[in-house]
Amino acid sequence: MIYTSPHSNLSNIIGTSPEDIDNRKQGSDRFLLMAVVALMMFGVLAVYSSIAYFAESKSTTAFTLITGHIIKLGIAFVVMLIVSKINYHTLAKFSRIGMVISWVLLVAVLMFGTEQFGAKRWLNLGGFTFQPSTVATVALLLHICVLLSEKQDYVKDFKRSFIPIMVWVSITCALIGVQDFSSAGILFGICLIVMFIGRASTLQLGTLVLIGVFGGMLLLNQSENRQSRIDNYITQVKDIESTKILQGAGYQAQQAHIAIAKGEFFGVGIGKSSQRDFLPAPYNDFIFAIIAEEYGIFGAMSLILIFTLILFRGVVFISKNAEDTLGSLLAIGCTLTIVLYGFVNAAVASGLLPVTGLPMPFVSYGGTSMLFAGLMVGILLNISKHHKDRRTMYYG
Amino acid sequence: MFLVFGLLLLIPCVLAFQLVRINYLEGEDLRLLWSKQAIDSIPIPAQRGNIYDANGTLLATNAANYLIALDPKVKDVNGKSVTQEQINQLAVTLAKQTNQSPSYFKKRISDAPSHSQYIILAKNLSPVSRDAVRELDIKGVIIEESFSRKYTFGSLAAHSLGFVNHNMDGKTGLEAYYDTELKGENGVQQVRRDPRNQISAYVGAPKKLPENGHSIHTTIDSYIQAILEDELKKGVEKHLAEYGTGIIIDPKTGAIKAMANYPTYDPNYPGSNENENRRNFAISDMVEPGSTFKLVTAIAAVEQNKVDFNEIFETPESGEVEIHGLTLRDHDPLGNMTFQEVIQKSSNVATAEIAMRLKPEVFYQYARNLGFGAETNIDLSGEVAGILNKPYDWSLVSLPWMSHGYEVLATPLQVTQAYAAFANEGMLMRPYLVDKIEDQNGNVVLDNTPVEIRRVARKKTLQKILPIFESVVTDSGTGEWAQIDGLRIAGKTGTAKKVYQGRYSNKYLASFVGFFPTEDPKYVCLIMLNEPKTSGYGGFTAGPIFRETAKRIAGLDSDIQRSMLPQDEPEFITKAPSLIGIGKEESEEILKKFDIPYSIEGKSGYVVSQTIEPGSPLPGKDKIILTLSETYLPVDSSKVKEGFAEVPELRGMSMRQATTILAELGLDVKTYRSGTVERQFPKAGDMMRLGSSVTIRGKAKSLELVAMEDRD
Repeated sequence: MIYTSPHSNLSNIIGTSPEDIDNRKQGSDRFLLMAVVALMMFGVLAVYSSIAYFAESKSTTAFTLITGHIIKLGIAFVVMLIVSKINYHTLAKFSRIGMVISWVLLVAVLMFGTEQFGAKRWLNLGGFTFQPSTVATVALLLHICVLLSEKQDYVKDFKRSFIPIMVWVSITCALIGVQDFSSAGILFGICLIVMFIGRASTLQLGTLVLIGVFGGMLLLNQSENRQSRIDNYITQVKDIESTKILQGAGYQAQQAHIAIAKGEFFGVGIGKSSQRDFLPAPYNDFIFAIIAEEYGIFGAMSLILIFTLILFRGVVFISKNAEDTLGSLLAIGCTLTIVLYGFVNAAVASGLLPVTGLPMPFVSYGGTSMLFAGLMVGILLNISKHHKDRRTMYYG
Repeated sequence: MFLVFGLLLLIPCVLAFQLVRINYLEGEDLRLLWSKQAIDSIPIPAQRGNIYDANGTLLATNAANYLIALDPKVKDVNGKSVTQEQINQLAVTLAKQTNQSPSYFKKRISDAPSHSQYIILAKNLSPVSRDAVRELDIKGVIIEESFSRKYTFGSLAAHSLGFVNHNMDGKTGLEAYYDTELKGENGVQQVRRDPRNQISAYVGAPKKLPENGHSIHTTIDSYIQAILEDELKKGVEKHLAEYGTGIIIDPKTGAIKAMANYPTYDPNYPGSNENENRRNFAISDMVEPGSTFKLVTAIAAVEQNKVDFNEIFETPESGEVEIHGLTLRDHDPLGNMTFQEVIQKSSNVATAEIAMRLKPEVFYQYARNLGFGAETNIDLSGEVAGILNKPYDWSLVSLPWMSHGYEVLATPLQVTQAYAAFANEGMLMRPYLVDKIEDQNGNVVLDNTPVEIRRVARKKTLQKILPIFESVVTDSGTGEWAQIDGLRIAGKTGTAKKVYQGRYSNKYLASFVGFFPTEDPKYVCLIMLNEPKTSGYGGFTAGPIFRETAKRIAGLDSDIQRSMLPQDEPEFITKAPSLIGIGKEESEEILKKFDIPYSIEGKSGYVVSQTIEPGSPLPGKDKIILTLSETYLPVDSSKVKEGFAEVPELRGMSMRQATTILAELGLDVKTYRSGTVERQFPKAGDMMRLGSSVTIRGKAKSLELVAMEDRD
C-alpha cells in the first residue's frame, strides 16, 4: 500500500492500530499461555523420569502412564481454551449453583470417599475419580468474587457483607478441611486476600485471622494423618542430620533434602534422578525435589520464576486492567490459587513446610487438579480479553 | 493490592535461599547420606586356581552351577506375565534335566505364596541344563550362577588335594596349604541400591577386576596315584585292616608321585564321609615303625665299621634274649646268621646286639640325620614331627629297642623319606608336592626345585648295604611276597606291635618300604597297614600290595620295561611325522628332535609334500625329502568332503603358527599354555567339520631343544 494514513503513524507510536484493536479484543495474555505450556513441559520430563516405580506397582509401564499424563494435559489445555472463550460473567451467573453442587460433593466424599495415601479425599463417580475439594475451590472463589462485586457499595458492612460472605467461605473450608487441612487453609487464605482486595473491612478480616489461627489448631487435633505429618515436620527440623530417621519420621523430607543437595547448581541431568526411588510419590508431592535433583538450583528456580511470572501477569496486568471489579477479584483469586499451590509444593519439597500432599499445578502427575487449574487459567485468559485500557496491555 | 503482590514475591526469595542453603550448607552431609543409602559395592568373585598333576591333567577346578528360580510377577514387553503354557514348558524342561517330574515343578510354582517373586525351582544345574532353560526364553525365569570346587577324579589324591568349605576356603591338603595362592583376589564393583534393596549396575561405576587364583602344578602322577589307591584298597579290604597308607616318592628329587590313604573320601562331598577318612595318615599318624627302622642301625653300624659282613651272629635257640630284664624276641628262632641274614630275616635280637656296639649319641645322630624326629616340611598342612628322644632321655633298653623301630615315633612319610635318601645314594631330599605355581596369565610364580637337606651317609656305605636290602626281597627274605620277576627291588618289611592301653597288644602295624629299580632307583614306595586281621607280618600283608603296585608302575615306565623285558621285541619304531603345511624351521626342529635324517627342496615357506607318507614307519636311515612352497595349500581338496577339513599335524609347531594354520583351514582353535604345541586333539588326519574346534596344548621349549638349537 502506497498511501499511509496518519492514524497508522499514530498507532505505530502507541503500538497498536485501530484495525488491530478489534482483533486483539479476542486475543488473550500470551505470556500466561506460554508460562503454562512451560510448566507442562517441565512436568512431562520430571513425571516421566520419576514414575517408573509407580508404574511397576500399578502393573503397567512408565510409558503408558506418561501417555495418560500427556493426554490429561491436553484435556486441561482444551478446557483452558474453551473456558477462555466463555465470558466470565456467564460463569458468574452459575456461581450459586456451583456452590450447592460443591457442598453436595464434599458431603458425599466424607461419606463415600475412597482413601488414598492415608487421606479420604477422592470421590469415585462411575470410574472417574476426582477430588471434590478442587471443584469447591473454583466454585467458592467464583462465588465470593461475585458476592464482593455485588456488595461493593456496602462492602464494609458487617451484617450485610462480611457475614454472608464468611458463611460461604467458612462452611466450604470446613467441609474441605475435615479431610484436607492444607487445601482448606490455602483456600481460606486466598479468600481473605480476595476479600481484602475487594475492600472488605481490615478490622473484620484481622479479627477473623486470629480466630482462624485458633480454629486451625483445633482442627489439627482431629486428623491423625495431619497430626503425624506435622509431627514429622517437627522431628525433621530437629534431627535433619541424623541418619537414623531413614524409615521413620521425617523420612520423606530428608530424602527430598538429599535430592536437592544432589542436584547442586545444574543438576545431575535429565532422567538421572536416583532419589525418585527413595521419595514417596516423587511424581506428585515431591516433583519439585526431583526437578531440583535433575536440573539443579538453576532448573528449580526457573520453575519458581515461571510461577512468579504467572503471579506478575495475573496481579499486575490481568487483575489491574480487568474491566470490572468481578474480573479484577476473580483474576486475583485464580492467580493466587495456581501460584500458591506451586509455591507450597516447592516449600514442602524443600522442607520449609510440613508435608501437605498438594500438587504442583500443571507439573505434578494427576488428573482432576490439573483440569481445574486449566479451568482457572481459562478464566484468567478470558478476563484478560476484557480489559478497560487496551493500550497499557501488551499482546504479543 | 501491590502490598499483597510484594509480600507474595517474598516466597520465591525464601525458596531460593532455602535451595542454596540445602546445597551449600548441608550439601556435603546430605550427599554423604545418599552414598550411604544408594551406593553399595559387591564383590566380583575371583576364580580359585586349578590344580594339575605332573602330566598336566586337571585334578581340581571350579564348576559353574546354576540355580533356576521363577518370578511370576515379571512381565514381558507386551505387559504379559508368565502363561500357564510357559510354566508347563519350563516344568517339562526342568524335569528332563533333573530327576523330578514336571508336576513337581508345577506344584512348587502353584504352592508358592501369591506375592512370591523368587520361587526356587532347581539348584546345582549344569551349563547344559541352563542352556536348555535359557532357550525357552521365558520372562521371569531367574538364572543364577555360582561356582563350586570340582575334583575331576573324585577321590583321586583326595588327601593330597584336600577340600574346601562352602566358602571356597581350603580346609586340608594343598587347598589349605596354598589357600592364599589359590584364592586370588576378589574384584569389587560399585552398584546402585534402591530402597527395596535391589541392586543394579550403572554406567561408569568404579570397578576393580578380580585377580584369579594361581594354578598349582603338582608332582602327583595321576596314573601312579590311581594304581596306588587301587592296590591299597584291595589290600586293606583283603587283610581287613583298619586303614592303610601308601606313599610313592621319586628318590632323586623328593617329589611325591602318589600319596594315598584308604578308606578315603570324595572331596567333592567332604561332609558325606567320616571325619577319620579325611585324615592324611601319611603325614599325621605317629607310629612306632618297627623293623623298617633297622635301616638306621644298618647304616650306622656299617659306616662306623661296627659290623663285619662275614661275622656270624648267634641267637639262642629260643629266639629270645633278656636285656636289662626285658625280653626281646625274634618272630621265629633264627639261629646263626651273617649280617646280611640279620636284615634279610629281620632278627631283632641280632640287630639289638649290633646297635649296642654303637654309642647312643652316634645312633641318635644317624636317626636324626635320616629325618626322624623332625618335620619333613612337605608342603601340606597338618604334618607332625614324630618323636625321637635325645640320648640323655634314654633308658638302658632304649638303644636295643630303638634299633628295630620301637621307642621312636615316625610318620609314614618320614620312613619313606629315609628310604628315599638310601635310594638316592645318601642324599636326604625334602619331599614336596608342588612342582610350580602359575598365575592366571601363565607366568610362573613359584618354581620348586628339589631341596637337598643333608647327606646322611657315605655313598660307599649305602652301596655296601644295598645288596643286603635287595636280599630281603628274595625267596629267603621276609619280603619274598614283594618280588617281581625281572625287576630288582630293595626294601624292608616292618611288623610293629601296637601299644594298646599302655601295653603291647596283638594288634600290628604291618609295613613294607622299598625302591626300584635298584640299578637306578626311580620309585620309593611305602605301604603301611594298620591292624590287619589276616596276619601281622608286613612281608605277608603289605608286601603283596607293594608288589602289585610296583608291577603296574613298571608297566607304565618304558625305561623300566625295557630293562625288565628281554630285548627280542623290535626297538621303538619312529613313525614319519606329518609335516605338510608346516613351516621350514618347525619341520626341521621336529625332524631333529626325533633324529630323522632329511633333506629339503626349496628355500622357504611351507612343506607341500614329503617323500615318506605321514604315519608310515621310518625304515632305518632313509632320508625324508621335503618339498617347500611359498604358498601353502592346506589340504588336497579332492580328498576332503565339502564343509570338512583335515586336521594337520600341529605338534612341534609354535602355538601361533598352529593357530594361523587352523584359522586358514576354517577350524576353531582352543589353546592352552604357550610355547610349542605339545599335544593336539583331534589327531592329525582326522576330518573335522568346518568351525569345530581343535584343542592344542603348548609347552615351553624344553631345555633339550634349546640346547639343540645352540648346537646348530
